[in-house]
Amino acid sequence: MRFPMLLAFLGAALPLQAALKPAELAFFEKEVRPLLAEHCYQCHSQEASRLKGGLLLDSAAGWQEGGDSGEALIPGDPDASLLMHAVRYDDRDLQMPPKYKLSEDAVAVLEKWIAMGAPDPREGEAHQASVEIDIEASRDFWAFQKPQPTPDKETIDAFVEARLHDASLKPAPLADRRTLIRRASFDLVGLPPSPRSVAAFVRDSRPDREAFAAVVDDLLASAGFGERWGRHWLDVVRYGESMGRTRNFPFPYAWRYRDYVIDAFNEDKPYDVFVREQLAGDLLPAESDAERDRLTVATGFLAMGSLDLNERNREQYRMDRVDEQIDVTGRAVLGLTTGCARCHDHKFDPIPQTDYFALAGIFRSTDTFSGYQSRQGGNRGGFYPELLVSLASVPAQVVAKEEQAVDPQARRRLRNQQQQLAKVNRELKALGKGGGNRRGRALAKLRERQKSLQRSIAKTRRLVNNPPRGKKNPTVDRTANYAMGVREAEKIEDCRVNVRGEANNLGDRVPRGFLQVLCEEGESQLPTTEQSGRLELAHWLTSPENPLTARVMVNRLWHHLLGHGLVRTVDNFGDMGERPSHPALLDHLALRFVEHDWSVKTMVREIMLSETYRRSSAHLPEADAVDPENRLLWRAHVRRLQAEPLRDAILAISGQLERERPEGSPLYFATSKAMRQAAQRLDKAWRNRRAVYLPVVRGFLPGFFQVFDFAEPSQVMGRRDITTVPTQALYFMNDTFVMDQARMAAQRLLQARAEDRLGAAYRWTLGRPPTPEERESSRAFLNDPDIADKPQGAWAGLFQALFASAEFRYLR
Amino acid sequence: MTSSSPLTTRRDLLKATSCGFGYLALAGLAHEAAAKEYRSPLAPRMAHFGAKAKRVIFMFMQGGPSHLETFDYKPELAANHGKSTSSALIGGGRNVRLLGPQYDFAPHGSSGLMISSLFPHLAQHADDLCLLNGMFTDSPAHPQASVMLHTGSTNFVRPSLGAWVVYGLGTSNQDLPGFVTINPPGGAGGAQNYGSAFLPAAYQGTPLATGGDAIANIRNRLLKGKAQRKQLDLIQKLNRGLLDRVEKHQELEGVIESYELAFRMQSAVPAVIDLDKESAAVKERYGIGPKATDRFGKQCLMARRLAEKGVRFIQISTGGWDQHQGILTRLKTNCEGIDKPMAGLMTDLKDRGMLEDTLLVWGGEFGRAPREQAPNQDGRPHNNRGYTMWMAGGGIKGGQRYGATDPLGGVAIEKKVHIHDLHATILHLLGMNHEELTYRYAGRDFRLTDVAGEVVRGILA
Repeated sequence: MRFPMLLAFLGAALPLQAALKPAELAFFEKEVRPLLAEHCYQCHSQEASRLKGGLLLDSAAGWQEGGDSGEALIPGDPDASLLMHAVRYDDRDLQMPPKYKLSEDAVAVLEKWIAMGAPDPREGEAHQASVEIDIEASRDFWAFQKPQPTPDKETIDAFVEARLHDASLKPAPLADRRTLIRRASFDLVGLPPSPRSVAAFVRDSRPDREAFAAVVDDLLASAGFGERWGRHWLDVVRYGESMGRTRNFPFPYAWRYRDYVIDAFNEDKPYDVFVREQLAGDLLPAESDAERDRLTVATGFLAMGSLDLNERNREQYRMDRVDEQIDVTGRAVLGLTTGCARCHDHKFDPIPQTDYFALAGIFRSTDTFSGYQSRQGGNRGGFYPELLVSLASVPAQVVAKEEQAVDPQARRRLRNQQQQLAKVNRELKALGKGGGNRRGRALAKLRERQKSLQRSIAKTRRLVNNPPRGKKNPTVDRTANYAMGVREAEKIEDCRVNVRGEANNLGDRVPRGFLQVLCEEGESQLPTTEQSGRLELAHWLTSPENPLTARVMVNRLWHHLLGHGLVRTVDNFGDMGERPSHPALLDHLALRFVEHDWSVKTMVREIMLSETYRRSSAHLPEADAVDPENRLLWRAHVRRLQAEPLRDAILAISGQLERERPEGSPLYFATSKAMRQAAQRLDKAWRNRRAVYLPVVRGFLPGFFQVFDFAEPSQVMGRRDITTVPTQALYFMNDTFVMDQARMAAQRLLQARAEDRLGAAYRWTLGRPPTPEERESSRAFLNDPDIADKPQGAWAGLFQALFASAEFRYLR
Repeated sequence: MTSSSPLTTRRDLLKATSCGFGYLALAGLAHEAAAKEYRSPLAPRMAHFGAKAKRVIFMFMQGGPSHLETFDYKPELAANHGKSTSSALIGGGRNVRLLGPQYDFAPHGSSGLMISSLFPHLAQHADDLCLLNGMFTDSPAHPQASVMLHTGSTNFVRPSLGAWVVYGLGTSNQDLPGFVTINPPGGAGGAQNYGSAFLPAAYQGTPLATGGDAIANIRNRLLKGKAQRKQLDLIQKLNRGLLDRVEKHQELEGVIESYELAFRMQSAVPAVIDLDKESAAVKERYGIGPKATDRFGKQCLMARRLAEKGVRFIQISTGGWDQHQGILTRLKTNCEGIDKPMAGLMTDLKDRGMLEDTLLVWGGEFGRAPREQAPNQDGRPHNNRGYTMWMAGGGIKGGQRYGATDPLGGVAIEKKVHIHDLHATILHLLGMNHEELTYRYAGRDFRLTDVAGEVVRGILA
């Protein structure tokens, strides 16, 4: 058995084109080919719309390889051939053709053919290389149809209630005001509501919806809105401040794009404009230098991809860049995995490889400025200002500081150390004199720290006064007039298909254009050929006629406000993505979004004022039995706070949070080693800033971000992972950050009157007063001799427990 | 099984979990009298039938290591090196050139198992290795294939293999997670590869790192023992209050469990991950110290220490196997990095009598094609249609090649093993029937193996 098979495979593997005898050929052509074509090709050929059983019978290679069930036939041995079993209807589970049995004559022909050794002159692939995608038929897929209005429904709630009603389910009651304002505050600005605003809302005598609308409007107007929602967008566009991959060099000017995004959300820049600016800001008209610069910075969207700088093949690197741009544009804006069509037609969605290269031509006619070039371009450790775009409204400045310059890091360190020393001195003084082992130990520790700081300060001061020559960590001026972005290439040209995705294996030239399935028949080609086509692409993407762009964005908004998207696979609206739970509602929202000038704030407000958003998370056993995933939205999802709001909330409660936006990023190093240190050990100027301003260095996320499922910055990630692991518990139990902030919150609390403190601690953290049981157990904790070493310590312990509580870490 | 408790069936467990074990856990904590009734979701459970292996060490080679230079001996490929071929078997269509194996193979052990010269140390254990030469999987793309290998699904969020195993069997050491993953790759599916999806969160893998900071925040610098327990009791009281109000929530129950486990881990973890406790001879055996082998050596030694302490499922990972180029150079470095550590692990397990009930599984998300990546490029494209993984230890018949690719090494043709079959076999060796290990979610019983999977009988001892 083994031996003939081996031969058969060798025959298939190597081009041993043994000449067929004329008689064999004639028999095949006259008898076998028509038979196979008539009865088998419908499911077993390159032309099959859906190949069955993985078996091709329209080429010799096809049956030689066999299908999912194994070898189709064994030349010379009809009785051992699966094909014969199937056509003879020997086996109940394998009968071919499935709908009727072949005539005796036809079976005899196949038998004779196999007995002859199955001579077969047909060439061709053993795999269905390109099933022609039927674009027209694919337009029926829900996501490619234009959103349709539902005439009898006007509100979000009407849509949700209709589905609940169909399932005979009743929704949970509305959430109480304290729960609601906490939810709204974290959702909109990523921070807890101040106790004062909670009290005001609870007291507000207006009806619920009206009172809540006032709360929402205040939050929407806060600068925190852009900081929170800008970060959501940064997840989607794989924002990172370094190259990642094999040569992880810093992007010291990436922050300009970050700030642009935050500002865009704060200004409520219409989403269509927002998308156009990011794709083609450089091609849009500007009235001033400042506006020109803003538009340039917006195109950083295309320049921030993570690429392999070690790629030696220049063309490969160039096409990898193009691929990255197609991928991020497709998934972020359209929710389509367009990048999958690089090597072959898309396996699941109606995106032929030629559509991919129609887009590729657009991006290939675009020059991208990330500050680096690939290995063949000669990347060295530093970075190239000439590979960035220059800004007009920012004065030109020195980029790389040369030797003998004082390391600003050293200056900062000196200040920092001096402040620490001052603090230690204060603590020493506060501790005063006294006995007791514990106090003695604390004193000794502080003194030791004092000495070590004094030594460090002397060392740093020497560094500042007498900087060494040839610094190891050259820095760049992060405020210099540079940005990442794109420009039109000098040579505008259509791209040739890369056969199998190989950059040097060129096929036909494809005219630049868009995805056919999203265009009217014959309208997918670019109208002009003068420019790259990015501007046209941007307009096409944001056309109200585009069925996906608005849907994808409102679904993202819904995802962040309700916990899951109506389509839970927020970055994939294609065939492998999920179908919407409420298709009519999704359409309704998409239409409203466009109608209201693509205003994110208007849409967010509308969703939040719905009863659907305002439901409590109460558990209803009947509903849970029918719909445990809560897809029908009978209650609010209990949602976990993401890494940034979790951290920012702790800093806000401890009174340490600095709300102002810092200028730039702490990543002003020109080398990857220094960058890594800076990213993981934040200096003081950054430590207490909002998390959105912390550096996002690919491969070196701070531990906190890693533990709490921050978005992987090399990937389009509209939906973050949610893990619940003991490392998170350990973080709350033991991490210095949590303990320090708990101590500072306790210090802050001591300013309140003694009898108010417990209530205040709960209100600050959980947005509500303690229940009588909580009051009792908290008192017991505070007075416990094991805890109550000193008053401040006990209160710090309580704050830490509150920070660690599930109620603090979750929105309900 | 280590448990002396009466047999707990899947259905019993299901009932317990659907009532919310976290809730029960707290009830137990609050009333000592009721503590007896509390069953941790991680408590050891009886297998369906006699288990050959008690634990798994899964060595994941992220990127898709070439089987053609490692464990799949293909003399025909060597003979045809450089030839153009139009064969569909090796993919690529017209005019691709075959790339012969870049390293020589030789027979090893009394079984004469063919192993390449890249694994001189591991080859000494040839008689224990069962090479699965006929592996195939669904996707040739890294993220999908990696998630497939870990969860049995390319497109849906499903529980990972380790989570299923701990769900099925619990774990014998309640002070350590039942499922630990050391240095998990960040990309290629990320946390999904050790996630619990719809299974209770307690079954999720806990990521650890090698080195001094194997796990961050394992000690508290101020609150010790009793005092910290009191603080934790307060936290858990708050949590119970919330759960009372929300009533049922799997994730919140997971949070509650995670605090209890974290508390116990504080004493258990530092001891088990402190490699300094090992003798210089042991470290040498694992290749700890020399730069080439240090990282994986530490992972292997940590895996052994965790296995010894009763952790049920341990995954160790190493990346960089995506040799589109550098078959000659980078692949060699990679293999050198794992060869001695793996051999050390096997020797060590043997010495301790643990190899017989520890299942070792090695492999990547797919293999590589027998053709060159591009003209004159020292690399191979992805290949999901035929590649190699290997198993050794508990219940495995060593010293054999099971299954085969075609003579050129491109496509699995004989005794093919799909990922579902691999999963079914791993569960079988652990004493579980993959068709019976189910979890009811959203109205349906889910399995690791979906509706497929067959136990690969031919590799069982």
